[in-house]
Amino acid sequence: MTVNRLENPAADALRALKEKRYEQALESFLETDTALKNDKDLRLLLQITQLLVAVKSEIATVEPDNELLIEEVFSGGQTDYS
Amino acid sequence: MNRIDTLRSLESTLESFLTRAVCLYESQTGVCEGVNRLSDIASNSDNMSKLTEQIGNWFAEHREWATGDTILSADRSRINKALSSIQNRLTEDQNASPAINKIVTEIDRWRTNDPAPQQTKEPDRQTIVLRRGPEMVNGKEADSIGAFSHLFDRVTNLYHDASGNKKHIMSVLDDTLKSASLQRNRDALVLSAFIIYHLKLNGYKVSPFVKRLKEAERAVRGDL
Repeated sequence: MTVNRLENPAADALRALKEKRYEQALESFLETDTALKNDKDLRLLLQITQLLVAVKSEIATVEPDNELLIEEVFSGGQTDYS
Repeated sequence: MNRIDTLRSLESTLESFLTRAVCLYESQTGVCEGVNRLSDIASNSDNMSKLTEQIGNWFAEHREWATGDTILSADRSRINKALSSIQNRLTEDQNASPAINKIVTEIDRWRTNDPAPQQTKEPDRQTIVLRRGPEMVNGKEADSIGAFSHLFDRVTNLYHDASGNKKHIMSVLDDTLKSASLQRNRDALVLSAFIIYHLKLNGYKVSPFVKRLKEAERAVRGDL
């Protein structure tokens, strides 16, 4: 059963996980009743996703001024400071 | 390591776990579905041309993993049994069409490459004695090529994991630098240096990343 052939919410959840959209993955997992009952691997993915979302939430609480530190640089060594 | 560092480390570990687990889940479920489909074909198809078409489609869809070496022995055994049954049906026809002959050849090729029957054909039980030599203190130095090769493999895998959904190499670099600093991951440190050098050769401004690399190096050494 590949991602596309799972029931829709489970497929959406796996797709979201692959794209690192963890909160959306969690929402989709929670809509997936049948697959979660029958598949212990999916249940494990749900639980780890829940834990990760909780950790991210805690980081946001502890570190509210969370800034992305990537500096946008263009080829030729010119930095855009605008 | 303070609280935020611990949380960041946990976050990175969980993300890495989920990336690998999703890949593994997809590959395992794909194999399971493929084996079930083959068993269905072997047991349900009465029509010879339909059987030929179905098994041809099955090989086209599942050849990649079916000929790989990652299948569980139980799955391999089920595939072998189903293919034997199908091959017996197909070879009953004395005036077999070219399509049927092609499928029979394909099944023969699969079974030739299948390691499982060779294991079961062994008539006598053999004993393998493993002898361990004395410990070598300077073993690492002697196999520097092998050690670097292992490192390169690990770094390549790390790069594939880190670059999965990224749009730019600098996003990958940001992740690997975090991993090197927070998890004290030596492979991530090496990969970061590799990417920085690549960016430098391509004319990017790398000084902010070099600074972070040096901090990460101190963390990996345990100075921070």
